[in-house]
Amino acid sequence: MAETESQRLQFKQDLLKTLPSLRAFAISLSGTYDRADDLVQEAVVRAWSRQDSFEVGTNMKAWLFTILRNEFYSQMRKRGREISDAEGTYTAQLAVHPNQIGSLDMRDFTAALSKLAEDQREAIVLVCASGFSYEEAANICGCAVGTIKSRINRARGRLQELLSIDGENDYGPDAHVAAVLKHTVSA
Amino acid sequence: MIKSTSDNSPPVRVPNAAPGEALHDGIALRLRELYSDLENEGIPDNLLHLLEKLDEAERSQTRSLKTED
Repeated sequence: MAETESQRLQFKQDLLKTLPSLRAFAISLSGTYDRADDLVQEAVVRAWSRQDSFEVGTNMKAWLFTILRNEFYSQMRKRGREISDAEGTYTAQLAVHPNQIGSLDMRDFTAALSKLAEDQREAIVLVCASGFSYEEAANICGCAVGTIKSRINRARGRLQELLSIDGENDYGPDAHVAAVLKHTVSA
Repeated sequence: MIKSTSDNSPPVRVPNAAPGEALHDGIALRLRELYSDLENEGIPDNLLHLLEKLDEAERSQTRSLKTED
């Protein structure tokens, strides 16, 4: 009994330690704080109920990220496309958050990130920001390592493209005009 | 104001580059900056409460199992 007690304590501590990163991933994935918090809560409840299936000594962070990611996509399937970025909610929500960095540079970046396809966004976030290896990211996403690499490459290419075009914002009359210009350019 | 870091480290487009090489340009740095800002926001109280409740529920369950023995 004492062993289970200490195991549970360890599990809880590891879970707590991972929460900030798990939450940052949820926000990056869903683009809204409300949905991210729902996702994290759901993932925590699921992880807790399945703690017996977690193998001690294996990567708790990757395990939790997998649970959260599965939850995200199952919610997407349930609710349909309406919740996947209804033109700009992603950016708007991140941009207005009081704690969020206010620099124009970072807002441009967030806006560009929101325009990526979900699979590309999650790949680049997992490897470049969450600190997973290509292999771990592939396991989390249930795809081949090569797929992760090519998604990251595409994400990077798209971000570079978007950010250099968005650079016009600094000189243009306003963001709306820039958006129209951008639309024209990409059309 | 964050200056574009691409001056110092031009984007390297190598399909099979290791994370260490390809992922340290301006894009990766800004992504990490955004992410670590999010991480540093701390954990919302309701999440911590949830964890406490889960823990407490399991504790009392274990206790009741023990008394049944």
